Amino acid sequence: MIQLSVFAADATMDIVKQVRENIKIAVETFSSGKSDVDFSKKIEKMIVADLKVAAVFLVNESDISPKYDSPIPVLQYRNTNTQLLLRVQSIVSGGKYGILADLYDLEHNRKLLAKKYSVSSEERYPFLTHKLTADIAKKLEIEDLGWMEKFVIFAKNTSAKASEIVIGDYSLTFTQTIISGSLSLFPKWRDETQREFFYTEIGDKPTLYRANLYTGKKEKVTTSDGMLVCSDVSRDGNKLLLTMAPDDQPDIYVYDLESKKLTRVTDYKGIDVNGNFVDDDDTIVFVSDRLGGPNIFSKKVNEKAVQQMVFKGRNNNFCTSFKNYIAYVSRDTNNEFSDNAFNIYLISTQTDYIRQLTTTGKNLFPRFSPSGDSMLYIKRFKNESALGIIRLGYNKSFLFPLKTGKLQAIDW
Amino acid sequence: MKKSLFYLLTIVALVMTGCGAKSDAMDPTAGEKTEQQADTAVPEQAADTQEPVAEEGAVATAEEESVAEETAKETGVEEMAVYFDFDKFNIRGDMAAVVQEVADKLKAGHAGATVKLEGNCDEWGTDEYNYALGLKRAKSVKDTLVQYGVAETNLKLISYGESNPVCTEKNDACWAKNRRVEFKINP
Repeated sequence: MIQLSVFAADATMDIVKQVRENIKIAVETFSSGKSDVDFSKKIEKMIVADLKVAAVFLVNESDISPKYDSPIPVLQYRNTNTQLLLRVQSIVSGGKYGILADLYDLEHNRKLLAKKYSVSSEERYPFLTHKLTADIAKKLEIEDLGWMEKFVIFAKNTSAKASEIVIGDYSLTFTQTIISGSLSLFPKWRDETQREFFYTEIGDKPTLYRANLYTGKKEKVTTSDGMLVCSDVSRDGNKLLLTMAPDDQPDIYVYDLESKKLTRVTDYKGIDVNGNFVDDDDTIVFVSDRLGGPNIFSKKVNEKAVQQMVFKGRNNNFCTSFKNYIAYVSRDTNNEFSDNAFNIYLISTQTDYIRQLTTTGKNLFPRFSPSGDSMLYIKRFKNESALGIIRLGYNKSFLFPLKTGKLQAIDW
Repeated sequence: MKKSLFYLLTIVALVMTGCGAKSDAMDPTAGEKTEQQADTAVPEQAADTQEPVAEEGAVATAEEESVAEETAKETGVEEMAVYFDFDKFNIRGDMAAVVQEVADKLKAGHAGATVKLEGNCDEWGTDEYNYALGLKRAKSVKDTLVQYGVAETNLKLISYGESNPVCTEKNDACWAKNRRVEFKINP
């Protein structure tokens, strides 16, 4: 994990209303016996990483206490201004891998949390500490870190005309390939339950599929000549924003899953792609080259008028939205013959302020977390690619390299 | 007279069987032998000696060579590509002749075939836009082929965005090679 500091907070950043920072927490981890010492070390590393990614804590790994249930050395911790103590014991028993966790408020001498978690396979252990961290954040009323315990889904190119669709935890410590053997791209969750997702298979003709992660069942949604991408899904999970090209012309359509009705939204002769629902799903923001180069526009689904949203940058080629916020990718250099910088910017539809979220390298495919306080993105550097997370209220970002392949598209 | 007719028929038969038999063989030296034998053979003596067989065979082999040459032209379109400038989908001036050549080859050798035009991009930018850019590149080539007389109904488009690179080096030469449209016949 690589941590990068971005830059100072600004007064217009009100995605997170109240930000608490620098809560000093000590973490003690224990194994339950000799047989799970290695497992305990993995747990220790992961819980410390999770608390750092939460961005509100100053984390101190401690070995003061000899055992999980030994008395708490409160005075020792208070001397170092430590506010919280988290004790975690790993357990390997009966084919399950788990942890016991207690969170103590050292200032007020009380136990805040007592939890037990388990998973059925060791490779899924990251979810133990991810869930623990999300529960700690909920208990402390910090913010919603529910995204930590969920899957990310991504496509990665493995070679020419070949890819895999993979699920994993946000740190990519756990990954599982769920689709392979074809050129399958642009996975998109249907909703927050993460039971179903959409993806495009590029065979003889691009085809959009809807698949169930738990039953393995997949069904064809629609096909198109040329190209077909599901860019966004409405909040009720029933309408899809598709980029498709039935007349060799890339345009944006709304597809209703229940009525199977397809409605064309754009009809410009150039490139219109990457639609995202905003404002109760009756308006979209999208990328279009109708003014000479790719830029961000908006329009109501059922009206013709188009409004330009971004007035800075010559090449703004990707956008995503959360309530009144739009994040977009801008190519900040224009060099055909060397590395170009692609950076992510954040704007509000209510103000004129633009906030730059990344500063160097190739930063692509931003996605807001379901609660809007964090952003997932793809970072490419040299021959590698990494999953990035920006904690928007704290101006901190983290990178998690992909071991093999090149990230093509992501969602969470 | 009857004998002459017999010999003539024999010659014809030998020519036809010679064609059938030799079309299965791909002797790379056949052309050389053929040239030498063609200079020395005397047609009216062909029925009585081995020489006429060689002579008739020489004609057949020469025909096979021209057939082989046409086969090379058929695969040529699939080995060709139209290249594009950075972030552009219009046909460059230096690529117009390439598109013309593709059109000529398709009309000459694949008049009824389905041809898939595959649009591709370099690795810059987010892939959804690149898929559209690849598609627009394929469409530009298609429109130009149609202008040059290729039947529109035979041309299908597909984009692979960044997912089908021919090289992965981080340099301008490789990026330029990836910004292309390729052709697949009867895929």
